[in-house]
Amino acid sequence: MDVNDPVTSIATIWPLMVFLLAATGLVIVMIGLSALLGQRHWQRTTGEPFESGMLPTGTARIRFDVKFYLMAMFFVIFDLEAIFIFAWAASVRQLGWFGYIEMLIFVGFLLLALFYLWRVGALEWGTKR
Amino acid sequence: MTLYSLLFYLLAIIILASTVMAVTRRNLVHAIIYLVVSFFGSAMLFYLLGAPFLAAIEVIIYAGAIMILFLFIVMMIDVDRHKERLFPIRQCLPAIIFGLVYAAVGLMVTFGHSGSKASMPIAVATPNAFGRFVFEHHWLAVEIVSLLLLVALIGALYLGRLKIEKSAAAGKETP
Amino acid sequence: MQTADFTALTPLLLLAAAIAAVMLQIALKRSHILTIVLTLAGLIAAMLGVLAVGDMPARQVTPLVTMDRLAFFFIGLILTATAATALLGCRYWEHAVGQCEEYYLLLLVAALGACVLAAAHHFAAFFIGLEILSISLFTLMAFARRRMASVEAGLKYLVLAGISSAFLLFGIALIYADVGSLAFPIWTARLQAAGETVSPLLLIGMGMTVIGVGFKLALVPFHMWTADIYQGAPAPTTAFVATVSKSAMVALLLRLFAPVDFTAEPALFWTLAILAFASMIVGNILALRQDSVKRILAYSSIAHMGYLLVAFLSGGPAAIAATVFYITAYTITVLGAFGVVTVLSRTDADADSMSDFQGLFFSHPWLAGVFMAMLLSLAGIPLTAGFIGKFYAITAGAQGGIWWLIITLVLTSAASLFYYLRIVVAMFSPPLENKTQPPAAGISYSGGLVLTVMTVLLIWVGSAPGPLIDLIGRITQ
Repeated sequence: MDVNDPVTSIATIWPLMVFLLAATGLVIVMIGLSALLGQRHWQRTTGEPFESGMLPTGTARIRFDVKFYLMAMFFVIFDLEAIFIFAWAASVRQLGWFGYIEMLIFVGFLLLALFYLWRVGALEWGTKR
Repeated sequence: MTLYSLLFYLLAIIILASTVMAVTRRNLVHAIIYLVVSFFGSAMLFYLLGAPFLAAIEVIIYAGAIMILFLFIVMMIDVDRHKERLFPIRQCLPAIIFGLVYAAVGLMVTFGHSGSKASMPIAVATPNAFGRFVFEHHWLAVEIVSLLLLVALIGALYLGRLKIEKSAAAGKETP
Repeated sequence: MQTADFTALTPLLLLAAAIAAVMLQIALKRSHILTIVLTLAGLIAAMLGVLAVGDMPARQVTPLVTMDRLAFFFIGLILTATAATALLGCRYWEHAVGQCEEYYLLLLVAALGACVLAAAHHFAAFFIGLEILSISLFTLMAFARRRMASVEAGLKYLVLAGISSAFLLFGIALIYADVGSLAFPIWTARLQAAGETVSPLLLIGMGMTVIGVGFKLALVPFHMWTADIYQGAPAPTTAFVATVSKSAMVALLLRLFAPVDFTAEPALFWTLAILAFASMIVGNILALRQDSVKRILAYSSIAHMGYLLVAFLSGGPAAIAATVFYITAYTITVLGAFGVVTVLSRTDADADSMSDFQGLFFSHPWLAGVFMAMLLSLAGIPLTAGFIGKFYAITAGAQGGIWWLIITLVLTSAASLFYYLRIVVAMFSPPLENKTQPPAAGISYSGGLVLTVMTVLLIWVGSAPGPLIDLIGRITQ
């Protein structure tokens, strides 16, 4: 592909353009409409998060449990695994059985890892039994 | 100026601006949100350069997974309200040196004469072509990467479970 | 994707199978002894695999790795060192609080990463192997989680390894931008063809690759991590870092730079020569000032990598063989030395300070003898493997005519005798009166086995190096 050729470049990037325009347009419409149609009032409790209920106190920046980190880490790792599956899925017909076996081994190792996580209790959120 | 280069410079400005904002924010959560914008910009840049699959990976992995990890870590480490300078002089100097080296290398890549000019033709790597390239020619790498992910998982679990272990051990010592 | 590919990969496949087996076993039923048995069985199976297919003609499996004799030799070395580490870990982790089965799992994965590095033929394999090795290594370093020093060592390694990986990745990108390929042969051919008019891009890329390699080998400007990590990490891990990670990196060094003619590429020669010179000088000088045995061994390892580079830089016909011989002798010696440290360590703290070794000869004469043999080998005293290694390095260097490096080697080795002998003297001095007695647990069978094997190898290689030299001559043709 010649990127400097205006015809081909527009032909390949027009979906991106349409998507960009649609996304920007949607945001403009949403904010604009609510600005036009919404009512403006400012009373004593308007700025509070709940119309009724407890007022939040203190800061939101407290130390969270390390389990959050573990979950995020597992998520990243299995997300990466998913990327490989996507790449395989995009060309599954041409790759044939060899690709299938390859993927089976790849997923097998990660499945083993999941089994391990489950057995050692890494996936349990509550207190230990 | 073609439409193509117009888009390129637009994206470049978005990426640069959001990255500068991310680096200079005092609030870590804000910095992370700016970083997400920067990653989205890079993803679109990849798309523009003919790598749609890479663009998708950038969004899924970086803007999605890695940023969640960052956010959780920010929640965990509880570093806020530090009053000192954002960039102490001691950290500034190495940063400037590395920045200059990086700029010099970038200039060299752009304007310098490469030894083998024709080595990198412009290509569009479709997801299909990418998948075939990886799974047909580099199948060994795929299997080794599965082990890399495995060891990352075990390592993170072992080191991350310190707190649980400690409380369990304490419970055992004083029944 | 033919059968021959899988035949050539036999050791790696067996190792991967062992990883899966150990993991399944831990998930199903935790048992320290069962894990050790499975780990050793896997390692021995992989070693038998090396013996079975090691004489095959070289075969490139995918663009990533080439399984040739050099690769098989280094894989054998890595597997042996891993087995020794696992055996040493046996008694060390026995009384540890919490779970210790993962240690062996991580050891196996790290060994696999090192094997990939040893066979790498492509920058992608280089990077993946390096990452597997680094990630498992910093977990292994921080494995004694109740000791702050251990966790600190792991954290330091994580940060510094991350930075060095970033440099390496940037360097690889620059090399790719210039060469247009990630395969090693193409890049060495390009470097060779460019001669003195090498493009700045390639030069910077090469420099950043040297930083990545230099960090792992702990050459002098990139040696900062070594002492703290050697001291802080649990003793078996230190043995592993000092042997497996170094020998995998030396294999990679041979693949990256050995095909390059140094006379045609002075920039590369001078970069590596200055690193070697600085490593020999700084490593030995800093070792003189230490009071901790593990730190002395850490700085001496820096110096030894400098000696190894002298052999490598000689560029003569004997250069590769001398380098391979040196790393083999060094691996045997260091496994023995850290083996003694491990055997003397307790669960809560490693044997480290001079006073821990004071009077060792009177309480454990055999251990003191083994440790003395290892230290003398490190110093390069005749009848030990270390002497032959150094002799070989000097001969290769003389053939290559790099006299200033040889003179540095000889002078700094002479200075190094001082700190090795300090430990020996401490072992033979009368024991301290008011000292809390180190463990009377005695030496475990596994630790004793490792020490015996390493001592026998040390003396055998030192007194009759013929078979090993022949073997290395055969694989480096």
